[in-house]
Amino acid sequence: MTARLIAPATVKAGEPADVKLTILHPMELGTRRLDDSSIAARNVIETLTATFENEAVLTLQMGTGIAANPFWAFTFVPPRSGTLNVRWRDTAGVEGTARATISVQ
Amino acid sequence: MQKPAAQNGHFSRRIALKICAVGLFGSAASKSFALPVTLSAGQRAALGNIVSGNVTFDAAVSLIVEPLAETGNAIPVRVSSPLEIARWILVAEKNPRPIVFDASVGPLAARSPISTRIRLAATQNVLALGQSRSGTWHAAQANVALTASACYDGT
Repeated sequence: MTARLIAPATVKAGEPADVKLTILHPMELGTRRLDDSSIAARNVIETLTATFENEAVLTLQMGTGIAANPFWAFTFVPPRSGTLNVRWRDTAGVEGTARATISVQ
Repeated sequence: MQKPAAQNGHFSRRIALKICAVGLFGSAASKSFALPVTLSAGQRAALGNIVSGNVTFDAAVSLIVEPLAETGNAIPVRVSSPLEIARWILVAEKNPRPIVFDASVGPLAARSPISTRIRLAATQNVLALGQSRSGTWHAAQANVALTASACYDGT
């Protein structure tokens, strides 16, 4: 799955880092009819976790209420330099990951 | 012309005009309101056992969302709080699956505002619930009017 994760390369110690994430995903509702009159199976990103050096930042449960190509923006205060890891999983079991390295100065 | 209420967003002229068009409600409609409100039956049903104890509607939780949207397919929302929040829940009671998201927030992000884009099936109140680190629930709610819904079903 294609995604874009935007985080600052450097932040000052004690200050929050702005994180923005966009994932290319149809967030299929399970009601849309295809050309051959079958119905597209429901397929949404169900869980997403963001961790920084194994510390939990954000754990999301979501579903059909989130728009297609989910966008998330949040902030967190990195205690030290390290890597922000984001993982998600959809109904079909497909997983995706994105990462960004943040250096604390 | 009134100034749009949301401070964070980059309100386009179109959105500013929409807010003016709402007129009677003015800019207050784009933010959570501070009236003494309680959870509706639909919201209680959607939440089930997730939320226990009293829910306080107060300034501890702020929900920013457009008061009027052309379609329900992608409506920007933002929740924030001056308190340290451990969990956020967003409820759209008239959606087929009313819990829009349920977010557990780690200590590193305790004061983080959270923004995303949601789908709405109908004109309705959107409810944001934030649980502080001490366990108490705070809420804010805002009405979003749609001119067309997200294509949730045949309606």
